[in-house]
Amino acid sequence: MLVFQIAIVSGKGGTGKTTLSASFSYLAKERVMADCDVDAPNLHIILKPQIIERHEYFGSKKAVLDQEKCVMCGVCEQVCRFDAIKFDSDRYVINEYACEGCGACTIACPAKALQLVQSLSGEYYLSKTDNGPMVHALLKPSEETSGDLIAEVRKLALKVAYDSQIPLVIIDGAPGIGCPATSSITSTNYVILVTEPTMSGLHDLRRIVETVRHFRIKMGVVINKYDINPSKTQEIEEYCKTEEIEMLGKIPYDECVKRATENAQPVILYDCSASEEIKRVWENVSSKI
Amino acid sequence: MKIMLATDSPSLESKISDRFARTSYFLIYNLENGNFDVIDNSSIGSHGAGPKAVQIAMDNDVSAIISAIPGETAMEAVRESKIKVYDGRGLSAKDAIGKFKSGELKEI
Repeated sequence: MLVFQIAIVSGKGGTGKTTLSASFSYLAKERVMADCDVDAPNLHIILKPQIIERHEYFGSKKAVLDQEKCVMCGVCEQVCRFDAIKFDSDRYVINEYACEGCGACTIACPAKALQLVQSLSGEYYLSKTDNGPMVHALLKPSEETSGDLIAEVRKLALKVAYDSQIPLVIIDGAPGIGCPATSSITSTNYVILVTEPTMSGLHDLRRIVETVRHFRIKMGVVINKYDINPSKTQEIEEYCKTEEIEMLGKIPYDECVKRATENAQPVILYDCSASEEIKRVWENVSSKI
Repeated sequence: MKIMLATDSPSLESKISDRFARTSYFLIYNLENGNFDVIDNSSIGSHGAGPKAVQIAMDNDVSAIISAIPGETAMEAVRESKIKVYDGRGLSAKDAIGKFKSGELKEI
């Protein structure tokens, strides 16, 4: 059995990735969901997963000071570029949120009192939802290790798919065009780009298209709230035509999306025009699998 | 001549990994004698995995890498080196080596 992996990304944040992902998770017959926005995940709000397995994620290294060995010379404070070491009443203390794990202090310390230690950067979970497994994660505040954690989330999602004979993984991708977005789309079989008819929507769409092209993955575009700015929508459509990118659908602005979101439910459970279009988009996407 | 393969497990039977820099293992395979060394890649770290993985290739003096399509920063590093990258998606390490020898793999 082969597992098909679909990633939903956007470049710009807030265009509707999670709104679409949540609906797709109900429309797909069998699927494993992977929430790869590990910095600020939201999909769980709608899918209400029950956690089955909890995994600790050790991503970054942090400096740890052995107070017994410390000679109070203060060299560590001087070499730390992140102001993560401060003298506090009677001893030096490391602020773990400020420490970037560069290791300068461990080299400079004459007493060898400082060491880099793997630190707990977050957790990831295997959960069950109403219609299938879900893998999601939570990065601790100030951690910047999301590309690596996303790799773990995707590995687990793929393993669950193979183990449970589920032929589809739907990835709610990370925003941006950098490491987390890259980690969300690499080695997927299809990428859905969700954009909105705004200047920044189109600007960031162009940038994420470059990233997807780099990986030579097929992609299609969805314009969300297309009718709030018809001329920008036209511009996006022309851009897609020139770049030979498929237009998967255009979702209208619809009050029911707001209602669904307020009730923490997927839009497709509502009877409205946005819901109809999301279903059409999904039909379009399913034909690629 | 040595080549580096990004794999899911530490053997020649392993699949080529879906990821380059964040693969579980690298195999450094010697084409002259068929021996290989295994590098556990689990601690590649959170930042700059791409260039770090290319550094591993450089340190091991390999001429070619067989993997999935590396990310953009990894490819930038590759272009600064003399190393060539070949698309090994969907193959086992063993088959990828065979196809590499017969010139059937596509350069990325």
